[in-house]
Amino acid sequence: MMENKLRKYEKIEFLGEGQFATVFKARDIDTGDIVAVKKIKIGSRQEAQDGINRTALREIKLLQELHHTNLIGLLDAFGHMSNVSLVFDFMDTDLEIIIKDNTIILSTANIKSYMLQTLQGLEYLHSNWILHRDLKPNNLLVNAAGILKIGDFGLAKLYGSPSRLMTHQVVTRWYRAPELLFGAKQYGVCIDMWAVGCILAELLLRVPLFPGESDLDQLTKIFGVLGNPTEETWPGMKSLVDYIEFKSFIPIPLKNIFTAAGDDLLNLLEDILVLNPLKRKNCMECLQMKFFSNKPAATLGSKLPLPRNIQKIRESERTSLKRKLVDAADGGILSKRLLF
Amino acid sequence: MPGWYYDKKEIRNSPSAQDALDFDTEMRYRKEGARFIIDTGSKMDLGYNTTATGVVYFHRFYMFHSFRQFPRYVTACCCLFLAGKVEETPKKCKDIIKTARGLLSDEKFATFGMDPKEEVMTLERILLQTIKFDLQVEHPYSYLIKYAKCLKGDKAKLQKMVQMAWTFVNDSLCTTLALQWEPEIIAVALMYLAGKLSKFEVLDWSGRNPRHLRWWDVFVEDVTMDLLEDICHQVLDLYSSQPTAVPDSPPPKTQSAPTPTKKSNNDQDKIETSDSSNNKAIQMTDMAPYQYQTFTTAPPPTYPSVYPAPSIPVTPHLSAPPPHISAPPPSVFPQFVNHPPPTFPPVTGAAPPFYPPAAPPPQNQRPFYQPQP
Repeated sequence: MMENKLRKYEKIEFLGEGQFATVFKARDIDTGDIVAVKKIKIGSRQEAQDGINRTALREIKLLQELHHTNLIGLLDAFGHMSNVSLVFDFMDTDLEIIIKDNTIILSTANIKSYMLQTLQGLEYLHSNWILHRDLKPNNLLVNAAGILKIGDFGLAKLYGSPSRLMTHQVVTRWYRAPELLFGAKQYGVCIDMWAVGCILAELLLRVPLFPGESDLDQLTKIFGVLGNPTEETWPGMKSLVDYIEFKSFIPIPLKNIFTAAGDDLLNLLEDILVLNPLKRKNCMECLQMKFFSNKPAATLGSKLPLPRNIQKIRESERTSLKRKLVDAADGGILSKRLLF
Repeated sequence: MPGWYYDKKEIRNSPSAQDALDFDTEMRYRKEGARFIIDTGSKMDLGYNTTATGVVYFHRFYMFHSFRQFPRYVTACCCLFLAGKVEETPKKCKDIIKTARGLLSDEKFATFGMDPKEEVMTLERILLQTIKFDLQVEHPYSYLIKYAKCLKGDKAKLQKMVQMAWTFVNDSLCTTLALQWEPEIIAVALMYLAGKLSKFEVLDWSGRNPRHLRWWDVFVEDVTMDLLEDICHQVLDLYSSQPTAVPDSPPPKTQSAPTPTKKSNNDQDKIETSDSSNNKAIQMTDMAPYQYQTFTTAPPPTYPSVYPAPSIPVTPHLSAPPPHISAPPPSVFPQFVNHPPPTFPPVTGAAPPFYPPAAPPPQNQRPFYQPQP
């Protein structure tokens, strides 16, 4: 049975190598779908000390029960001999690449589309009591159809148990919320929201808003823009374990940083990038803000600007679709031939 | 998604049965394996959730493999090892093996071979594939708490009832119930049993409506008395010793010449000796100061196989707050709990206001009690 699985996927190319896995682009031989196969490394004896690694287990455990357009789909998991592989939706690119690509213009409508998709996926995740804990542009995957999916659930965790402490060493530093930097061990959806705020800012600026070089520098950069929190604006802040006093900063109005942004967008940003985690808006509240109902409407997925190499794929698909139609008109049998 | 529920016929026709292992022996192996996971888990301070998940993996594993081919204690260690990682309470493989070493006789530990760690690690991948990567398992505990909160009646008696039901759930892990019924149904059945035994009378329940004849109709649909009684008896059967003539040794690895065992009248004696030696083996190794709370380790000498029983020694464990997994069901009741139920008020302070009212959100995709359209 397992051997059938092995033959079910045909390797197309090597995509990348992470700490725990090697990723291949592959084709599902039965359906012809392109998928990403993540082969979990067994690694050296050192790494293998504790068997199959926990990030992979988390991904399997959580993703098996989660199904949403804007979350990466775990299509299959299989093992052969001592290997374990996970099969995911294939995604062409990610927001990091899109943000860094100077040839792409991100209009308000485009940003709205990416934000909308991110928030919808995240809202689903949060309402299932799961925190992602590692949101960053690099983990927001985008396919050629312009669908954004949240990926990499290696740090994701169930939340909501009042007594269970969680580690504050989560989230890539630039997207880490101030309460985590102060060492909070109990936290909720607000930490993901902060990361979303940082990503939104980055979509506008095309560079990270708070590129801290150390945890302290990170807080300095945050307070440098938003001003220092006080006991009034953030009650209980001083009781956090790693709390330290910072020199005082004068807040910079976001309007001065995001000069091109409209008022509705600035309002959204202001309501997410709030130092006090309890005052930070959650996904649902964000989605109900004016920004999303105002014009311009979010760009349709198929119209979203993508890096050039993916645009090409999109066009070639269009032609192949056309050819299919022609073939069909001729009464030809298509699917067999396309599968090679 | 693989279906993880089997009827009794399928369980009787398990891979071990096809491998010519008789049913009673298989049930004993399952019971011993489950008990061993529970003992190892509680000795390592693993929570009841982790232990129970490990036990469910164990039972599922042997729906695809034979006890003759995979020695039960190695599998048990592997299940606990994986469950620890899945439930975010990881333990090092070598520590699990060390604990197992302390609990097992030399003869039983010999099944781990020359390199026990390697043995468990290799099995982990087989286990993962066998359980089809379906790692998330639910247990009756959370439902027990949830349902208990809805029942109205004498508070003290309710508490006793819940604690007894909790213990029955612990013990039910040694049966194949988790392969037969959803956790909701097991919870209802064992609450029903505990209610009978502790004479707790359900006066009323929240969410009651005229369609509901029994209190559990609020929670599960179409659960008949016959079904409840059957589940209760499967647990109660644990307390009456099972006659068996199979020597208390690991199953042979060879698949050749299986010798199906026959029951004889002398079995009753044999089982008693083997059982008592079994107990001794465990007692000799120093156990944790608190034992996993159960009726099986110390069954009342003449436990009635038919209930309602007049008096069982209700809970010697009630006198003191038991530790970790034997922790009494949390939260409905007193504060001495170590394990708050997972579905409880949101993170202190940081609660976003949009929590769904009945969170975590519905997992009611179980076919069994899908409301009738």
